[in-house]
Order: sequence, then C-alpha cells, then structure tokens
Amino acid sequence: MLSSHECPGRRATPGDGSTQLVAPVLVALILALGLAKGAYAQVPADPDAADAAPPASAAPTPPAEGERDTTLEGTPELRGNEIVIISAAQRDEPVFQSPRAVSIVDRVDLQERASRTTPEALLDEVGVFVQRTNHGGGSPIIRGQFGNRILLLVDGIRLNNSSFRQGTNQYLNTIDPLAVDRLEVVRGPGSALYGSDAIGGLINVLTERPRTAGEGVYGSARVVGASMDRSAQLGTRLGWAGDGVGVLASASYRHFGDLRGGDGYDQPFTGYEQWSASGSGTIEVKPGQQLAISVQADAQHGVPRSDRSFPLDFRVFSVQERQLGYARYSVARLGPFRRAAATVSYGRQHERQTRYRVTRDAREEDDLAVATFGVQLGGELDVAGPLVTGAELYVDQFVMDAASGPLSGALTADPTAIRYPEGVGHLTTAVFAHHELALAPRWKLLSELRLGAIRIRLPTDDRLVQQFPDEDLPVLPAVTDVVPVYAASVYARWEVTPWAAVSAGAMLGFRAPNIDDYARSGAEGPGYQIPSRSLDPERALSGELGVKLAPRGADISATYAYTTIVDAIARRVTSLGDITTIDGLRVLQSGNTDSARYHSVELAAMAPVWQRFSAFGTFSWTRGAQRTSDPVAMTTTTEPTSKTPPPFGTIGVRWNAQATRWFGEGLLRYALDQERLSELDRGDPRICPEVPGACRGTPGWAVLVVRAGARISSRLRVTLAVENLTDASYRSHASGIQGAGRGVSGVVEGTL
Amino acid sequence: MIRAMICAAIALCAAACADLADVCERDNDCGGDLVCHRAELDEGGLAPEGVCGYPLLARGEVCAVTDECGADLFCSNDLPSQVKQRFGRCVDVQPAGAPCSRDENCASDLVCAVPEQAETGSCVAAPAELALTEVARGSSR
Repeated sequence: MLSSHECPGRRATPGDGSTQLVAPVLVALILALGLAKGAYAQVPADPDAADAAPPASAAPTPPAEGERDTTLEGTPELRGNEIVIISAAQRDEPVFQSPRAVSIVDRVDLQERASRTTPEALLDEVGVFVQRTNHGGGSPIIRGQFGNRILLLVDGIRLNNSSFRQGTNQYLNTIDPLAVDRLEVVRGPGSALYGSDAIGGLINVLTERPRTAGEGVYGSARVVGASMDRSAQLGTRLGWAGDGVGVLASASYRHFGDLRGGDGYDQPFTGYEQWSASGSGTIEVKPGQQLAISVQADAQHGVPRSDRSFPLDFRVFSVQERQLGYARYSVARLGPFRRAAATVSYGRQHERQTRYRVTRDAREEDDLAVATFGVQLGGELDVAGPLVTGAELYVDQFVMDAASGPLSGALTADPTAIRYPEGVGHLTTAVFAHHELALAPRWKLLSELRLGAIRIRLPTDDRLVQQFPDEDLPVLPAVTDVVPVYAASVYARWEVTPWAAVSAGAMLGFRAPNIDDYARSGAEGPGYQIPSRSLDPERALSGELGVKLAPRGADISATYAYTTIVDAIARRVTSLGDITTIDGLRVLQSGNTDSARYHSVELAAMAPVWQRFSAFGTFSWTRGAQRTSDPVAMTTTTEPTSKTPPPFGTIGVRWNAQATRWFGEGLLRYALDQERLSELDRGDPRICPEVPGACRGTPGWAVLVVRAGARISSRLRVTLAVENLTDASYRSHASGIQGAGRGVSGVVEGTL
Repeated sequence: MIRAMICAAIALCAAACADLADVCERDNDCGGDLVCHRAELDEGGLAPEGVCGYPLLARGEVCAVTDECGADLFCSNDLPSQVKQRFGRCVDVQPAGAPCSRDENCASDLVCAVPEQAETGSCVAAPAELALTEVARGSSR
C-alpha cells in the first residue's frame, strides 16, 4: 500500500536522515551515562564463576585471574597461551594446548575491530577469507572450502541445514554481532565431532549468557556507525543476575545504506535493514545442575542480490529470517560422567527471493522456510583421560512456495518453479566420541570417531516435465535413501617446551548430499540447477602439521594442511534435451564427478617489539586442483578449484597503553592476484565480467586500516577506525561487490 | 534527554518513503535516489503502479554493465579490450562501422556483427545480408 504522504525531495546525497539523527543522540546519551560514572577504575573480573561446569558447546567460563577478560567491564590483558577454546574438542581447552588450528574473536576484538556484521568480524582472522556476493552477505572460505563445506554453529547448534547450497551463502550475517560473545574458528575437517559439512572447518558463534552471581541489574547500549555505507546500528542489552538465576535480553536495529567503493564508486543495490532480538535465561535448578534457555530472532529485509541486479531487472532477498530457540540442561555430575548436558532446539530459516523485471511487467517470488528440530546429548567421562561422547539428531522440514505475476499486484502460485518438490525431508543422526590420552608427560594423543546415518526423502518430481513439455524429459521417481556416514580424526601433540608445541593429525571428514544437491530446480549461482538422483557423500581426508609457539608475550602459529576430497559433489554443465541454457543461464546438475586436492599454509604471529608496541600479521595460502570426469564424453580434465582465494592476510603494528586502557593499531589487509580460475569461475560475472577481453581473474589489493580506542571510564569504551585509508578500489575474490572505500567507523559502548 | 530520544524515534519512523521494490505510482513516492519504474502497457502508456528502483545511469556515469545505462547509451566496457574491464562509463551508442560486442552498443537502426570465434565486431546496417555471423547477445531488458 502506498503511503499517503509525498516524500519530500529526494536526497542530494543518499543517506537516511533518520538514522543519522538517531545515532548522534544515542551516542550522546551513552557518553553521558558512561562519563557520569566517573573516571576509569578497575573493576573485578566477571564474578560469574558459580555456574555449573559448562556443557559441551556452551558459553565459555568467565576468565580466571590473568586471562584476557573479554567482558566490557573487566581489564583485558592478553595472555595468548591461556585463552580457552571449547569448539575444538567440545570441552574447555587452552588454545595453546589444542592440537587443532584454531582462533578466537572475542568481545574485545569485536569492539576493537569496529565490526558492523558478524562476517566482518572474521576479516582479520588467519585462514578465513570472507567473500561477499552482496553487502548483506558474507561467506567464510577456509582452506578453499565454502558454502555447505563450512559448518556454522550457534551456541553449538547447527546453523547449516539441508537446504544449504554449494555456492557461497549469506547465513553467517543472520547473526547479530551485538549479541555475540565470541566466535571460535576451527580450521580443517571437524566432522568427527560435528558431522556433515565441516570439511573446510567450522565457525561456532557463542552468544552471551546471562550472569547468575547475584550482581543485580546490568546492561549496556552500543552504537556503531560507519560512513562508507552510511550505516547505523543501535543495540541494547539488559540483564538481571540473581543468586543462581539470571536473565538477559538484547535487541538491535541496523541500517545499511548503499556501500561506497574505493575511488568514489557508489554501489547501487547494496543497502538493507536488519533487526535482531534475543532473550535468554539461566537457572541453577539444584547445586551443580543448570537449565539454560535461549530464544534468538533475526530479520533482514530488502537485501539486494547485488551481482544480479540492474535498474530494470533486479533481485532482492525480500525476507531473510532466522529464529532459534533451545533449552539446555547441564549437570556437573551424573553417574560416571564428570559433566553432562542435553539440548533440545528448534531453528527456523525463512528466505524469500523476489525478482523484479520491469520491462516484462513481471515479478517472480521464490520462498523457502526450513524448520529444524534438534536433540543433542553429551557428556564427559574419565577413561584413561578425558572422553567426550555424545549423540545428536536433526530433522529438517520444508515449506516451499513459488509465485509470479505482474510487477505490482497479486501473484499466482507457480508449482513448477518451486525450489524443491513438496514432500522432501531430511534427517540426520549420529553418535560420536573424542578421547585424549596422555602418552607421556609431554605427549598427548587425541582420537575421534563418529558413526551415523542420514535419511533423505525425495518425492516424485515432475517439475521439469511441466516446465518444458516439448522436451522428452523423464519424471524423477520417488526415493527414500539412507546413507551411512562416518568420520574420524587422530592427532598427536608434543609439547617440546612449556612454550612450544608440535602437532600432527589426520582427519576424515564428510559432507552428505543434502536436499539442495538432490532437489533444487532453478537459478542458482552461475547457472540454472536441475535435480539429481543417486548422490553419495563426498569425503575429505586431511593431513595437518602445526607448530604453536608462545614465548613470553608472543603468540605464533604455523600450519600446513593437505586435503583431498573424493567423490566431490559438484555442479557440472549439462543439458535438458536440446536445452543448454535457461533464461540465459547454463544448465547445471550435481553429481559425484569431481575429486580435488588442496595445499594450505596458515601463519599467524603476534610479538612485542618495543615498549608497548607489538607487531602482528597473518598469511594464508591455498592452492587447489580438481579433476572433473565427464561420464558422457568419457573425459577427465584437471583445473584449478573454484573460488579459491588468493594468498591473503594482514600485517600491522599495535600500541597498548597501561592496562590496555588505550590502544591504537595500523594494519595492512591484503590479497594477491588470483588468476587460477575454474571453468565455472570464468562464467561467473563476480569474477569475470561478461565483457570482451581475456579474464585475468581478480587483481591483488591492499588496504590500510587505522584503529584507535579507549576505555574512557569503567563504563564507557570507544573505538574509531579509518578503513581503506588510501581509498583503494578493490574487490575480494569472487565477491559481487567492491570492497568499502575510505570511511570512518566507530563504536561507542556504555554499560549500566 | 528523553525528549531528544522521542524526537529521534519520530524521525526514524518518518522515514516511511517507499524503499527499493516497494510499490509506487510516481517518483516522489520513492525515497532516496530511487525512481518509480512502471511497465509499458501493450496498449500504450504506463501501468498505473510500478516499483521503486534505481534510475538508469546517464551519459558519463560509471557503470558495470550496459543494462545499467539509459536509453541510447551503453557501458563502454563492452568495447574491445585486451583484458575484461570491470567498469566503464555510459556512452552514446555507436554509429555504423564502430566497434561493438552486442547489439545494444549500436544505434537503433544497426546491429553488431561479430565474426565467428570473436568477441567483438562492428556496427552494421543489415545483418541478413552479411557473410559474417551475427551473434546476438541477450539482454535482460
């Protein structure tokens, strides 16, 4: 419906005046609240230490004295070899002691990086390349793997469902960065503990948990603004902590204007809106027993598909929603278990993509909602060392719709255009175990095993027959397939000295074919995908060699990994009878036609250099080659793997004042050229524009970032950053948008 | 302070101009730089309602593809080059004999004749009589 008022004159320069007004007002409010609390004073670390031992995948325990306190109120102090990660082994483990290649982005990092989205928070992480098809997206690429070969978790619960496509995706950006307590990244296959999709690695997003140590009311407000996309974010959290009980609620609104690239290039079809809200509660039912409940909701509206949008023919993710609710009961002792937990979860993801074709007076909608019901049981015993064991079940249910009609007006259902046929279903279940054995005082052996099955239900599918009645196409039969799956890992770690460790491991990971591989029909990525049958899981075998050094004040890690993927599920160019293109897109079909191998090197270092200055840097390199078999032509070709990032990383210098009250850093974020392209890459306009000339891939780039921040009082923290100081025009490999041009971003956070 | 917050909230709500893809009747219904795109009717004229969208680019503006440029303009990265160019500028359509890679590069009474195995050709008058193979490259318009 049209608004009755007339919009007063269009903006001379794009920008939402409303958010431009709101942000300064709230900044002033937060400043007033924060400064009113007086000068900087050290506040004891979060006293929330009375919680029961955390269940597998629960939020981490509060920091002990000397560790880096990541709460806003505390005093951060970097002790790299004491930071604890839980995602690598589903149990608390200092990063230094983990044989896995891991990294963490905590609340302080989120604040200091002035990250506006959750994917952006990973930009400077070693081994994580962030590809962005649009401004509302952000897909992590780890060791050359992306999309459904990267597992995303929220509080240990799978965000990936069986509709996740092979291409890069936008789902990480459906998590409110203001509600994130920390991001844990595990590079390399993690299927033994987490199941399908964890081939390249996993990212576990841990949201903030309520405090329960009787502090009473607490809360904070955060304003984030940036000039390069005229974005403004307003977020608040409010909690109450009683004795053994606590609740926490948060809400945020984010407005992103169109993103300005380097050299002043304003990019249309990039702005969007996002709302998030969450509520959680924790209660100590009995001593050592805790019930935690969490509800999260996030909604994006009007997120344009930037790379496929033009003024008279554009595509918008008109709805992109995520909801998650879960209850987790954890006990400190249960029979032989040192700790145990049971989690019941319900997640829902809903997306609607709409295409507007002005000259045809046409509008097409593709709507998909996936509800996932999950149950996780887990516990830890002591059987000649810690033994973490568990079982899980996830069931996906689908609701699809497709409709078309005039540009404005009622739409008519179009059953031939729905993404999956009615009646598809997906269930996965498994048991797993992780064991750590101390072989000798400095030797540790870790082993993991997972056994499970996936049931896929595919109904009779006649969509293509109806869509192309002139072609002699078969009706695809109904199939219910049960696929056994397994994964395993073994690791050895040798602590050469208390500050140096070497580890080596072998991991067998997998990705089971999902509903999207089997049943998608429609435009997707670089082509038009048609359904498949008879797919097998793709398997990844990875060998890894790592070194971690933590000499006084320094933190250094180096990892080499070799990964080979067999029976890789890939989209290959095919035809439907005589039809080779649909709507200008090549016809593609999934099959276990490929194998691929990857070499990866990841280096990260941080070391004090002089007084309060430290230097840091990362370097990540992956080289991949895939062999593609064409069963019809009886040919095999070898080519570079698709969307593999070029060498990339950061290098910088940081200054920290006393007790980290102030900080400043300058860093160079860079990526080299990527000229190694697959056939699909060459047909992908995000990489090779559809214009004359030879495709040389993605040029290298480097952008300079300067950040500074201060804890102005015990209640107020401010961070300012200047991004892309030289206003370089650049594009991250395989992205559909240019990187942000020069701009200022800032974060102001005040606490009650 | 409370008054300031209330004012800010009102300002936020006031930004009710139609956004990208919202239904509109005229340009002024749309917020920001957006315009109201209405489809042309078969019987002539424009549909009473359309959707808010980005305007077509004018001559000299930076473009990525020809579909972004206004009438009788095309994106100059369509012209022959050694390496694919990510961006160009909207320029006037080409006269007869000028280089091109697709029909949209040529004036309305011309087509782009592209030799087989080539990516670019030249604007010519009558495609049917030419010995060269015309490659008509699709446009989503």
